[in-house]
Amino acid sequence: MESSDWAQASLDAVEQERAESARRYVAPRGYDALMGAAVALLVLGLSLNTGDVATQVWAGPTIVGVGLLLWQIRRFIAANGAWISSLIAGPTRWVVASGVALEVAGFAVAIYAGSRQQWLLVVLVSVVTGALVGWTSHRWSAVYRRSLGG
Amino acid sequence: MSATGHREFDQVIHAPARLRIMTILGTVDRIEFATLRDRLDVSDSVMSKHLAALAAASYVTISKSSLSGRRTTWVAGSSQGRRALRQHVAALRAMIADVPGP
Repeated sequence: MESSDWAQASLDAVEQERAESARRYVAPRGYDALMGAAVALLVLGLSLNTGDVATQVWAGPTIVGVGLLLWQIRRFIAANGAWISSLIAGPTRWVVASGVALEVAGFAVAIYAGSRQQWLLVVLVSVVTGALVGWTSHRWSAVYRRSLGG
Repeated sequence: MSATGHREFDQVIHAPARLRIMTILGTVDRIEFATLRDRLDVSDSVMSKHLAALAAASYVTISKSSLSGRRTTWVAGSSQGRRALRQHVAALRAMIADVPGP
């Protein structure tokens, strides 16, 4: 075999493996951290928008619960049928995009109206819930990967 | 760069199985040993040898943890390993690009 043929075969193998990994593994590299950060932003944005710390205490777990449910359903379905996954993935991305938009608006509100104490509490709870979601997602994804055979 | 102008091939990930392992590890945070072994369709001992070679080059990290009461071995690619894979792929591309057309 010519060396260039061998090099091409190696490159093809790399591309094929990447494509297969993307199809097979529901949670790619950085997925869990990204999910945690997205939820943290969502909680932060919503709480700042309400301007009420007490509301945030209830809103945080609710959003975390809904987000987790959506994501885990997507993980499960994605492993069984790409076309169903694509249906779920769209709305999920929309939810995250809404969270980011809320966060941006929330910052604007907080800059003008938020107290220092409110800021600190909101940021703290947001970071904690985001970290919790990322960690839980990481653990759950491992279980799903094994139960679904990779 | 080598004397011929080519980037050097990485001898550690040159082998097809190790190239596949590094490619897979480049797409996920970490992966279970058993999942990786099944993916490559090799025995435990063969997989262990490949991972030992990659770990010796600091291209992968291997850790053990308990999940749902079961001991699990996890394999993760290091930043050094991902960089090595990128350079190896670049060397392959350079080799193909240097071949004159028909």
